[in-house]
Amino acid sequence: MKPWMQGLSLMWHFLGRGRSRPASILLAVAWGTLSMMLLLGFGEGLKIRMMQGRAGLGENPVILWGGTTTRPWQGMKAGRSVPLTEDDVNALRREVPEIDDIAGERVRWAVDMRSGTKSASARVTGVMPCFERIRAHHPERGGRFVNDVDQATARRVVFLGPNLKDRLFGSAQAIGQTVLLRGVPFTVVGIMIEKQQNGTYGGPDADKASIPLSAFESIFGKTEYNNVVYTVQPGIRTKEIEPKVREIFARRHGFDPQDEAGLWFWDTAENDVETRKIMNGVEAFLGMVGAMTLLVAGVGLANMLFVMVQRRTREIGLQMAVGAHRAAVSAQVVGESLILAAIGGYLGIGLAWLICELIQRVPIKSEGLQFLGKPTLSIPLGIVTVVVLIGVACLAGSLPARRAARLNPVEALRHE
Amino acid sequence: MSSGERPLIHMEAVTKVYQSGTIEFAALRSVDLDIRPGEMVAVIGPSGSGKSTLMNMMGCLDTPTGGTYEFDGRDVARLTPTELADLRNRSIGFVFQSFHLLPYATACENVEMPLLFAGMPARKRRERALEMLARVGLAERAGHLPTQLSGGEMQRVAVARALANEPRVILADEPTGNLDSRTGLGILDLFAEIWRGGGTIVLITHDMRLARTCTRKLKIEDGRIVHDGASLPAGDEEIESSIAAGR
Repeated sequence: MKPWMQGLSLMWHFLGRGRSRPASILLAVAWGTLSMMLLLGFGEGLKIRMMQGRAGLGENPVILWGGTTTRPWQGMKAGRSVPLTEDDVNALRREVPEIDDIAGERVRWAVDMRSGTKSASARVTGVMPCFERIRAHHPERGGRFVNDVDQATARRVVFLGPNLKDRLFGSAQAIGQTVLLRGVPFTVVGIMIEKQQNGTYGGPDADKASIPLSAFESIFGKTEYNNVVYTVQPGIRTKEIEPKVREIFARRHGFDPQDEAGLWFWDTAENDVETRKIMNGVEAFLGMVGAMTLLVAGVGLANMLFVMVQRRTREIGLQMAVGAHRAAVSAQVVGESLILAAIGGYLGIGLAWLICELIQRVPIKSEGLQFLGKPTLSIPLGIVTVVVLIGVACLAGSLPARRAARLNPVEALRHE
Repeated sequence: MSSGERPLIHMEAVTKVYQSGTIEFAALRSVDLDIRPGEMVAVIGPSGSGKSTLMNMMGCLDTPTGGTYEFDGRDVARLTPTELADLRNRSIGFVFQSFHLLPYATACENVEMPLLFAGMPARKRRERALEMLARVGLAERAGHLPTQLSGGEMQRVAVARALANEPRVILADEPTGNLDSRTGLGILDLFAEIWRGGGTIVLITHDMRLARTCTRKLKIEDGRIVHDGASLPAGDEEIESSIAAGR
């Protein structure tokens, strides 16, 4: 048996017998682990929440708005508005093969909507069927989004956001029911599934109604698009095709392609990269705060082990006198440190798991808390915590162990 | 004992100087000493004369600042801490005045400790420890904690622990110092029995009765050996006799 194994064997054999009972240290390690896990768990929850929210807008769509030119161009003065038209959308579809899906969107705000005795003033958008994919307007079970037949026949069907559905129907069944939209009857064909949405333009999707573009035109008239949305083929970066899109618009509407104010882009994919960076930063920060808390517990552990070595000086001297190697003496201290950290750590991990499970089960209505998300524990997070714990325990144990191993047996035996 | 036999303990001009700041204190001054296997040696001398320092040197717990110390032919100064630990474990058995038993370990577990450091498997360790306890008359007390034992019993456990690895020498520092005279006599008998069984014993003691039972008496004063013979120095013999007469 190697000397360090002899030390561990001795430590294990006498563990908890007549030695210091370090309940406070166990508590400190458990608290440190709990803090670290909860902080990392909240970071993970927030990250998941942000990612869900990002997906709520769609799979990295680009949203375009017409702007106002700021430079004179080919004899035309500055300050001209750039409209977005159906022909522009067709031109982009034709000339930019990297674009996967594209759709124009027409919007009317504060449209009077009624269902029985209930009414609401809501935003109504006229959209193409591909809007479902581009902007994640997915229906609940039993419903559907606007389809090609609706569009082709200008069918009066409406797809409601869940909040708007609640305002018009309460908890009653809405699909198949009629809604009066500016006094014109529309049949509800689908309710959007609830989703988290980080960014919005014009308001959350949950508060609006979507109808076929053709039906929209029949009621509100054929106007310019308020905005155009598109997604790109897999493997293509949205930023790469932005100059091409701008050039097509500049050519068609006669403005300087370098005039950025002529056309506004909201590239959600670029936002996504930034969001990920911020979230990684937040997670790293929270992890560091947690690790610091754990380190404080580690200092407590080291202190306790120093005191333990001090108290057991004679005992260590005796062990050395009867033949213990330095490694055997060190192993006892480090081993005890690891065991304390393991017990405290498991307590902390168990408590963190329990707290997360409880929070997961509690419905949260507050918007602020909803934004924070719920703490989520994962296997990588557990691995990180365990690795940090082992590191802290080894660090906490190594200095007292070194001191113990370097004791002079004669002086140690004389120690009072 | 044959004078031609290689000494187990061989000291040549061994000096131990302790330094505290600028003050130096010589605990041992040029000690020459040979102890051969089978001897039973008493080291006597007043407090502070250097007896315990000598025992620490002999037991390889401390190293000399000058001179040469060879244990069984090995120059102790050249040994690494690990080799010294092995030497203490396998060749030297210690008995201390204050017993030095682990308070939370049973008598048997205390005896097992040097066997553990010798790498002996658990079951064999237990058997050997019980055998040693039986040898010192404590077979029935194997499962008792030191707090449940009398002073004499605790010292017997310490002797059993010292014997566990069948060492070449047993070094006992005031083994009866914390015991009443009757219990001390019991320990004395135990040492005599070990010696009769072929063991080598060095006793550091103030107890002249204990010293008298030894085959060789060393007296140390101011870090020097001032007497080395089969009988006690004349002065100490008279003091001891007067104490005995008064008793």
